[in-house]
Amino acid sequence: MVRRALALLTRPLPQPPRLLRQGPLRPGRFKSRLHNERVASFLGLALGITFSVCFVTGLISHAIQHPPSWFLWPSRPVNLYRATQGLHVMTGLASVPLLLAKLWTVYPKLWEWPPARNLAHAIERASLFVLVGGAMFQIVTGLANIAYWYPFGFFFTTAHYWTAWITIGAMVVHIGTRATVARRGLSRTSPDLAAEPAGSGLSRRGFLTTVGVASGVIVASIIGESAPALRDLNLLGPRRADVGPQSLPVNKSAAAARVTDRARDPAYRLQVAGAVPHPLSLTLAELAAMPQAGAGLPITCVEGWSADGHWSGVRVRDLLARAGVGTDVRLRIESLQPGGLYRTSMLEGSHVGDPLTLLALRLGGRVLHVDHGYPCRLIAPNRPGVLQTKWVHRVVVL
Amino acid sequence: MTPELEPPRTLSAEEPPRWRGRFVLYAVGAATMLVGLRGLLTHASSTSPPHWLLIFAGGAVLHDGLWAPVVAVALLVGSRLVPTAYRAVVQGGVVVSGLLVLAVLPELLGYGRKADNPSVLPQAYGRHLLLTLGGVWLGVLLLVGWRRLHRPPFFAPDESAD
Repeated sequence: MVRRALALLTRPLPQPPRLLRQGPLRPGRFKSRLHNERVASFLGLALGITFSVCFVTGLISHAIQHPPSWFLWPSRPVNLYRATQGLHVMTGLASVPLLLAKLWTVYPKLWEWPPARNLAHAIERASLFVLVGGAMFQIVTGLANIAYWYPFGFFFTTAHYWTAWITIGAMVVHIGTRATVARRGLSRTSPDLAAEPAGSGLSRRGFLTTVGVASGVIVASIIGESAPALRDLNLLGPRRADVGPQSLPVNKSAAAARVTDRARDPAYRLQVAGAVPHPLSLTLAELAAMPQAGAGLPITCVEGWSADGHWSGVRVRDLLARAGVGTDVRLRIESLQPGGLYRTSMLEGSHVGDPLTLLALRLGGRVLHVDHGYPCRLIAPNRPGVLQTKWVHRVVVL
Repeated sequence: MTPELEPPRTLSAEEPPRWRGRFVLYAVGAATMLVGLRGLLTHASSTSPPHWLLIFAGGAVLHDGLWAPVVAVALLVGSRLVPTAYRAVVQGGVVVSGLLVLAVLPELLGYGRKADNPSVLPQAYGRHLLLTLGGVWLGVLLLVGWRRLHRPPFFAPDESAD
């Protein structure tokens, strides 16, 4: 059975008429010395690494936001998510030159003759189309997303997530088909090392260096939006860590969330409800009269930027103690927002009892700006910005 | 006497025998792709498969059918204008500049700006891009100058003025 299937897959397909072999399909059409196995192997290896890093860090970000039952994200180290998500976006940016250079290096393969030698070859080429389509999709949508540009007609997060699985699957198949060729291309005994045809443009090493420099320049001009130490380099980042109300960027403004009037309503109360012996309903003054704690924590956005703030407010664990429960509980934090995907967030595990997890009332010593969640917002260590719920009015103990 | 060298591999060189374990990777890869496809289809209200397909297939087709040939011809024609001695380093500068512009195009276009939120895309991207490109081309100039003094092995021989 297997033997018959293999025979079918490898049986030569009829050759198309030679008359069709025109233009780029003609032999020897691509003369550049850069269309070369060793160059393709190095670029392929680099892309294998950057795509794998993007996939793993993307899975982490997805799991934090939609946790499966077995997944628990810790509250420490404080900057772990900042590192994984910064890495996700920066490796994605570094992949732009790598991907285009790789596609250009192997471009003659697109025009190989005959287009399909047998059924197995045809399937392999179809899987390459999936790989190229998926890789371009991820890069294009990712670049647009960090610049808050959504011209696609689908919801970015969902499409980017599921396409990542398709792309990585196609990459694994590609590794299966190319492993030995790449190994030969990368080996120290590769004949490509000894002889390089003469030419006047970039050499192979020069080309690879150019691609590396391009990735480096792109990342260097943006990484300052993620890494505080490199903030001065941030010339082209879609955000600046110090630009925004109270010198901190905002993702969704109060106006965009249609929450301004509710947030400024003097009748505001913070409620602690659900499975508690003593439900609470506290005015802003009562909250401010409780013991105040400080926390230096970043807002870490899924778009890759992060910015440090010094927050102060009531520890969530103090609030729970007043309501008569410990920290071994799950909480649903609810916003005054009338709707939206991020109206509520779950707080569980080590985040609940962490002394840095606050319902913050102040930022940088001043009352929260309404765009930062006035009257009261959640701020917790090692957590994506979309889960740092703003305009909090209810904490439900589940 | 120079030893006879094996010719360098073109992309169409004879392939070595494939790795025996490849079928495991084919199975894992196919299963992973199916996970993604299933996810896309079960969340069709968010992923909008027709729009998804347009970007997915459109990206590959536009790249292969338009982008790659245009870039190849532009580089080929453009590089003839540069003396052979500096051709490589100028090509490098052009490639880095082009890739940088592509990567920050969404910021340059600025379609993501929001009236109610000035912290989104707050920078003068046009001016900052020119500044960064200035840095890149300063590097190119320095390399050209260095090249006039030295002949580093970094650049390939350029005996043939093709």
